[in-house]
Amino acid sequence: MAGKNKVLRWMRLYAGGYDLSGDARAFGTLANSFEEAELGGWANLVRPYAVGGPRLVGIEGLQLLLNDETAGAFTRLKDGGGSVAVAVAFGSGAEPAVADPAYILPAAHLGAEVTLDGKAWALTGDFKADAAAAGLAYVGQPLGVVLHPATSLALTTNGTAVDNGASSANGGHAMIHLLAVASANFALKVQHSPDSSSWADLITFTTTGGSIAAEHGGASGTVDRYVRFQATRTGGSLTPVVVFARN
Amino acid sequence: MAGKNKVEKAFRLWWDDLGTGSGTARDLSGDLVPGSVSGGGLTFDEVDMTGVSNAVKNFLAGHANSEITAKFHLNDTATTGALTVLKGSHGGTGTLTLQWGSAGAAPTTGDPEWEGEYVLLDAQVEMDGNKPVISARWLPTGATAPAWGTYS
Repeated sequence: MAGKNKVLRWMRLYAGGYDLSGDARAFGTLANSFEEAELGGWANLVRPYAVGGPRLVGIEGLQLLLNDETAGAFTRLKDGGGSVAVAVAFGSGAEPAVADPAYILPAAHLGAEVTLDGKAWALTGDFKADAAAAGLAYVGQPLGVVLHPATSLALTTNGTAVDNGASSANGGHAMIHLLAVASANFALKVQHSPDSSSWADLITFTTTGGSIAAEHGGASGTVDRYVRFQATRTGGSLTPVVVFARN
Repeated sequence: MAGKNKVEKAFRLWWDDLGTGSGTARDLSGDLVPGSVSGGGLTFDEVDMTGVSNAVKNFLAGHANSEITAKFHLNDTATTGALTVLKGSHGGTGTLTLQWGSAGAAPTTGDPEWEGEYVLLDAQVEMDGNKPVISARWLPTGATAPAWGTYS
């Protein structure tokens, strides 16, 4: 439910197909800024500025407990230097639901330092936009919405439509985290529609649910007013988290 | 009512909704985190004019800056929520207006107002206590400098 109701307790962190929320402690910044270009001349009383460069995105100072279980943060993120798909969802006073805000980052994992947080050992990492990410060309605005929360699917499912109020012209990008799979075989897509009635495919994920994984993809051009997640089942079940952002 | 009576609760911040709002001015004060606003007015560069034999360092004012920063609750209410408005405006230019009401009341005619054309450079998410907030940063843009005026 939209509103002024986002607290830390209901934030969720997904990385590489794993829900690391139980180990997440703090973060510095979910970056989203533009470098300024100063355009002042001698005769200007006040220096004027304009956007001077590409958008800077990333997650700085992400701190997680040193959990060395199979699905723990230490096991999943102790080795920096590679690529990892990361998403943060902001629940509205409850577990994140469709249309809740999300932050999406196909990341280059740049730091994995062990630190002490009070009396607890923690892993602190930094993540920036991954130059090696196949979908990087589609990454603009990292702030988006949840299209499907962490709930299990065992049937063909058309997700709830999220209404942007209007279409947009600069494409968008999406990320899926498969948190659990059981002999799953699905076609997994993000679709869009001008009227929430006639739907077309916007982004098709290559994963079909065969294993725990994360994937990022995107599309250019017009994104219609309504967006939804669609899972078409051939077999098995899975638990996907899907997030999407318009540029 | 003019006077030594400008308190935080009577402050208002308006920003143009450049996304689906088509430039409509939005009052973001309801989502503004108390104590987080910085800016309004001008800060001039200090140009050091000191000579070796001067007893006291002395200065002249150079160019001015007018950076405005503020933090907002992550309110995703359609159309009016701070996250909705700032996300849709990020990187864009619009009118930013700061108003100071008198005696704890909402701003009214004659109350001080700082206004100008600004570019929204930052719309980042940070932690503030036990909640995520949007940290926004604006810098002036365009040919006309922001200036003091009054609510009208």
